[in-house]
Amino acid sequence: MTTTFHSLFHSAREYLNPILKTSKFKETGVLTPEEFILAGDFLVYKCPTWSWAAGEPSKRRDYLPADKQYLITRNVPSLQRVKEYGEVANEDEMEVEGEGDFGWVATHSNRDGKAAGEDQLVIGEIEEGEQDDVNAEVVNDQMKHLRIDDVHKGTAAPVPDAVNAETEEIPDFDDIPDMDEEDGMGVVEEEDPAALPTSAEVRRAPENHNTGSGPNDKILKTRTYDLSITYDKYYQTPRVWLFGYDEQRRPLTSSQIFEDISQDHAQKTVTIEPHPHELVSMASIHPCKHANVMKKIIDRLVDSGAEEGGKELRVDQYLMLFLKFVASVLPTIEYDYTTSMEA
Amino acid sequence: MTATPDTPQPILQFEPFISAVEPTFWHTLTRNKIDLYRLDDAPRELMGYYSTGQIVSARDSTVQPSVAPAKLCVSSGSFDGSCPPFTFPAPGTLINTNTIEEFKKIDKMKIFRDTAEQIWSDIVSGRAVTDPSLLCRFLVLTFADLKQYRFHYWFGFPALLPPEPTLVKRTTPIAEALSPSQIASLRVEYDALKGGDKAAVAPAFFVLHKRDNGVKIGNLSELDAGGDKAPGGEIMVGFADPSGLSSHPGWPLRNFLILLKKRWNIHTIRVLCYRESLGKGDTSASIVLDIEIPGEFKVDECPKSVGWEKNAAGKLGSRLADLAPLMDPKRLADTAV
Repeated sequence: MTTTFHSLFHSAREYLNPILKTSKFKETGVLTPEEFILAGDFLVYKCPTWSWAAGEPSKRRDYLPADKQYLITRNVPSLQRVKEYGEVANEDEMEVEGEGDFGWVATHSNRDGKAAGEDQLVIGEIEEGEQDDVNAEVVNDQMKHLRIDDVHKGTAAPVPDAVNAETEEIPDFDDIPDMDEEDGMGVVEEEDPAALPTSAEVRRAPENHNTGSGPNDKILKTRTYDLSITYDKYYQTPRVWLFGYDEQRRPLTSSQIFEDISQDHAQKTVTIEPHPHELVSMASIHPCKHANVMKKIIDRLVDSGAEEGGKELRVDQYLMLFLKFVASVLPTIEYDYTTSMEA
Repeated sequence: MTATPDTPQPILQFEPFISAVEPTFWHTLTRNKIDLYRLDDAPRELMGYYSTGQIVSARDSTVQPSVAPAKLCVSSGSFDGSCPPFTFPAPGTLINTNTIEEFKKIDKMKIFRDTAEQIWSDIVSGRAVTDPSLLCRFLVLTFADLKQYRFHYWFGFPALLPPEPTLVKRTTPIAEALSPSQIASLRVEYDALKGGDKAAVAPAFFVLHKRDNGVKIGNLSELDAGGDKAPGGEIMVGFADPSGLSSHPGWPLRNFLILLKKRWNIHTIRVLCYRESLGKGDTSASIVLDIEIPGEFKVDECPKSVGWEKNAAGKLGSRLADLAPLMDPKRLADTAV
């Protein structure tokens, strides 16, 4: 089985699938293109680090406005690898019972400092799907309060400049070798005392007795990600795409990207496929279970909203909820979805 | 360069830009090379962008927040001049060579010099007063190995050198330099400068009039008229600062100071290094510098310039992006699981 075949199959099916016309988000967790736009506008309004993108003109979908084809947030830091994160966060991790290795993992269930006792987890039904590997999902207790904030409170310190975790067990593309060119190529520069030396220059200059904490030490050397959200016409849900860069701003290989994906999803629900609006392949969280998960989250919110005095869940809040759920798959990628849903 | 007893005021040091190339940039370059440029390696206009310095807070409050590096970004939008919201434009020149040999042999000193001279002539002519983004002009030299999806590249961010090194007399956090009401009005004024749209591009360089109860922001051309000399007021300049360091400003200030020196012969000036968290309106990471620009430009000749980006090893040299894993259909098929 190849991803390429799958992508072709998926795009053919997506092409043939009629556009969802009527709102069904509360009943089934899916979105119409219009609702995707509404929810996207709300996300951009609430978290302005997200913006709409037009994408590659040849891949434009006519059921979406030309300038609102997908959502993107750039240069999102990822301060540590999931493995390191896992070591300190393991006690917080609650796997959905009975689902073995394949469950969604609630990495944040204790983060808000509240007792984990409350009934936080919803066990998803198992459905068949071409990637029969995500069978359960988790709804965080915080969702009940229609708040999306501060999920990371109380977790361990990040490890800046983190050394990459070993990846030997992951079959992968060739690692990108360190291939900066030979020096100079005819370039000679004036002495420039006004340029703050880069950290590499500081390291190479042992005579520099300024070994303490130079201003450069405060500059974060970390991986960054460009995250995008597209509308998947076949699954009628949003779909998340990732493009990563290392500390030197070189593109990450797929095995490196898998280090930033919860181990329960790397290479199961996350695959490398062509981006629907750009001519580049990227890692993507497969959307086959998204509607299901969103349905559970929405049910929970609607129930608790009724208890608390009839707070209505609006469809434009969908993406905020969706991003909170995606945070369980990408626990160390710190994109912005931190806002109160009340407004 | 730390201060020694012989130099009572330290030389002001600037955080260099690092280049940040999005994969869509390489894809559009590839397509343009095949469909448009072909063997024509004439320079092309680009539009890069940067945002103000961002503080990345650690989740653990006992750990000091870090600072995101100052990035100059290019993407597919750079070819048609579009920039994402909350960013500032920087015009650039792309030189894409046809072979790796040309990439290595091309007269880089001349290319760099040409770009620096463009900046200088915009300063001398006053174009940089009406469009200060010209002060951020950069260049990128590329070679696209289309068969292997490998891209060699080297950015240059020319900074003109002042007659004598610029000195910093004092570095102050914004909260100490301005009163709360002044900071509040700074935010309002800066948004007003952009017009109604809070995501619109505001001028990255501006004049700031400090008053008792607030500040007023205007365009650089106000300096031609000698600025607003309100009694008791103070004239400062400000710029959108890609650095987030509490001790240093970012690269764009270098050519801005050259403009101040050359056009208005300014000797000492207070500079607001404006930093705003993306879309959140928090300006607390901003700093104010008291700067001395000694000496003067005696001739109209373009001064010397520096600013080739160093590679990952901290040396002068090009970088390489290997996108084969993400662009080559064959490799994608081979490695699919």
